[in-house]
Amino acid sequence: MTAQSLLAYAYWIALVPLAASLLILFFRKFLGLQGAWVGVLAMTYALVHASLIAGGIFTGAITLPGEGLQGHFFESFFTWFSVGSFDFRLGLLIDGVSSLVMVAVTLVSLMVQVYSIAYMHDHPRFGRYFAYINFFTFAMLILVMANELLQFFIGWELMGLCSYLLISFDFEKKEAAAAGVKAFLTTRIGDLGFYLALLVIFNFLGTFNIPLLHQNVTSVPRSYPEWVTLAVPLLLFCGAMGKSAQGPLYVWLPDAMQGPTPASALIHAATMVAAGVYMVARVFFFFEASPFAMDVVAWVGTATAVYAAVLGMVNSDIKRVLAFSTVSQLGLMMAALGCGGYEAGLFHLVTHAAFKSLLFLCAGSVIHGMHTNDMWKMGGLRTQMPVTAFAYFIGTLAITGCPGLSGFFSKDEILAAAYEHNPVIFGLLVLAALMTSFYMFRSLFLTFAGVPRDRDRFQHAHESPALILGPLLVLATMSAVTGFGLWYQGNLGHWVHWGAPAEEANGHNSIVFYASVSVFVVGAASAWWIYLSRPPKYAAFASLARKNFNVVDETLVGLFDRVGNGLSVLSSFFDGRFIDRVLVDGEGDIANWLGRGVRRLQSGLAQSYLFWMIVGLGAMLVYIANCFK
Amino acid sequence: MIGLKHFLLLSVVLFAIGVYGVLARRNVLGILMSVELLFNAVGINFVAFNRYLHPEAVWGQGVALFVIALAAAEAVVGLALVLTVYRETKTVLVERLNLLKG
Amino acid sequence: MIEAIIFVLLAALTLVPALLVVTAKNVFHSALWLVLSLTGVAGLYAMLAADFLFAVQLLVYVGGIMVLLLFVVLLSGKPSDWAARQVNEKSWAAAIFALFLTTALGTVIHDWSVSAIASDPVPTTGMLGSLLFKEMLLPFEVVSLVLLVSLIGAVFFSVRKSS
Repeated sequence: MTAQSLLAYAYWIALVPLAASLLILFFRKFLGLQGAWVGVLAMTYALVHASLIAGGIFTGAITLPGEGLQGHFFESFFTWFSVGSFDFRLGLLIDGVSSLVMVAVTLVSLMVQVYSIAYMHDHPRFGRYFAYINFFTFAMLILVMANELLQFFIGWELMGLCSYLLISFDFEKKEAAAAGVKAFLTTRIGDLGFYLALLVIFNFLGTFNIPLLHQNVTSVPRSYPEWVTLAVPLLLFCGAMGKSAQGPLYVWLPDAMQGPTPASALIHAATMVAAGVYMVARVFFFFEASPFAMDVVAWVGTATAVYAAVLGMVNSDIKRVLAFSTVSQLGLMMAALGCGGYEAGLFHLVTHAAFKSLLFLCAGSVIHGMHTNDMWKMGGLRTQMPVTAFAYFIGTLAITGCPGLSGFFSKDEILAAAYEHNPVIFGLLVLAALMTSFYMFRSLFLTFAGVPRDRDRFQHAHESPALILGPLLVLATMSAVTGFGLWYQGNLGHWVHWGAPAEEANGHNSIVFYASVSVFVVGAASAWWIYLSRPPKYAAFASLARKNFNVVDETLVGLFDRVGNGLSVLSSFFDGRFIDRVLVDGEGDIANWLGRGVRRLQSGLAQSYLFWMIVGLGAMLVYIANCFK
Repeated sequence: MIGLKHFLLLSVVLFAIGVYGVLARRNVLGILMSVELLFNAVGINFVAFNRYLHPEAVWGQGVALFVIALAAAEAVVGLALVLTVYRETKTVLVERLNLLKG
Repeated sequence: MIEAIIFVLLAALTLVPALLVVTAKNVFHSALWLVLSLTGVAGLYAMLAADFLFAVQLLVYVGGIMVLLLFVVLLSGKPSDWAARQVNEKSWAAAIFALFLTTALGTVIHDWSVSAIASDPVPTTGMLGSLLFKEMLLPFEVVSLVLLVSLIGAVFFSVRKSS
């Protein structure tokens, strides 16, 4: 197994889960509960293969062709179809970034599948669930290793589909079905922007090939008009906003909590929502070419981070808190990218995959035991579910940036990048971090600490089985150590940056360090004070904030209502007046009119028949006579 | 002096008058009379051609004879019909006879 | 010269009553004018050296058919029908068409160049007789059948149903 073959056959990382998915789908009746192991096996293989590649790249055992930092393994090995002079080829692009993300994706997917064996074991559509999970992973993987934007888009769209399938998995529940549709439609809006970007790219740059595009964009003078430089990243970011729930398009993510919790862990922690961030990183050269686009990305990310954090502070559904937290963290990543912190954003993407999925899985474990999502019905669960509590605690520490855990390092990088770029953004991101700390500790305390508020449920709660606890512990470990691994390896940038030469390691920027540590402490302390030091009740500002801050969701719904109504009025008008009256009735009227006209000839009067006959005869006579002239 | 053309022209004019009568008269007997005019115009035509183009034969006159005979037959039947219809509908105006109106 | 005058007189005798036939307000007057017009036609036959035809026209057409017509005219007129307008609403269209027909056919005849010489008239009766019984025997027999059929038809129509 040489380095070369590892790279050349890297597409197996995606194809094996695909095969597993199809196998499980078609043989689910035959396999029953054992079908899950097919998926687990497939994902284990994928994880191993991806880890070997990533490990090889990071330790230098695998050298990628190309100069240093821009080294990448590029291969197009399958032409799907050709249109004119354009070939649609599928292939691979392996470099530091893609290999790292592949590891994250396969690891989380594997953990989720193991977890789901226990969590979903009594669900009637068990087999389909595992098929969807594997198919989803396949889609994400072909997106991550795509070497052409079209293949990327295919993975993008397939993930949208899987997301719909998984969110509305319990489609008997009306809310679940509605949430699936909402997710699909909202991301669709973003996808429109992405699609337009693809059109512009192909029209002006003539290719979808990522390294080629990189060359085109960075070579000066540019061979395409100026406005393209601005339009492409903005349109691409539209797509990213949809998929990563940024800006006004975040509204689908909280509703997506209707899906099974492990699916949420996969989709809304590690993979699909990360795709938007990954996309910005993958074609970062487009964004670097337009400072305005970078600013848009930064500001949208920051605004989303703050807004979602506020909403996370006031929610009582533990899953929704985590959903808003995801939106907020994604905002952080986007802000990082927008401020030029390429490595920071990617670093946080990877650490976030670990701790967010951990948090979701813990929440799932709690929900499984307590049969409710409402934190106000929980409390004191650390005695009944100690392992889960511990894992959640680790996750909380990670996300809030407790020094030493992974989240600390990645968040630090982000704040540093923001500090360099724009102090206002830095300030806002610090505020978001503060709120993150607050709401995460709030959720921790409300769920696991203090006194149980619902005695009955508390009595019935029990620790989850090993298949659930195992993944929790694995992810907890990852959340703890990943920071060290990636950070102390001497700056992630050496391995993942693709573009300008890697910036020097910032080391410890003191202001950033102190800021991030202090918000961690302050957030934790205030949460403790409000929710643990005295009997907690709804804080006054909570209900206030909750009322005012759902405005985006409500506005969008109202907007769509009005537009939908308007369109339906328009189309019914068109249908009634034009189609019904002119076309349908019109046919009848024309037939009628013609008939009546012709009917007048059938007068029953022999003389008028004779008239027309003689006129005809006369005409014939004249014609014949003229012929003889 | 008087050539074929004159007779032909005359027969054309007579024919046109007959056509006008057939198309414009309201009385069914008026129409029948106009049809007689038509027949006569045709007869003049045949005889004129016979006289000027083939003076040694009498085919044209033979045809004109047949035209007269057939006109007689037609008049008989037509008038019998008119009387029958008049008996039923008590009118001789053609426009009232529209039982075949569609 | 004389020929021309006679022709014009005979033409007038034919055409003027013909016009009056189609424009007269009184249908009985129409029939009477028709008698005159048919006599004119007989004269024209005479001018065309068709002596037998001239006689037959007067005997059959004027003497037979017109008498029949006059009978029916008298038998089938309500005073109200007699006073009614004799020409329908299509009369102008018909007039225009008739004029058009005249001009069209007239132009054709006028342009048609055939030099026709009138030869001396010969008695035609014998020739017609042989024609009828030799070359035109079939049409002759058929016409007699037609006459028979029309006779039967007329009787059939006239019989009142006894109910």
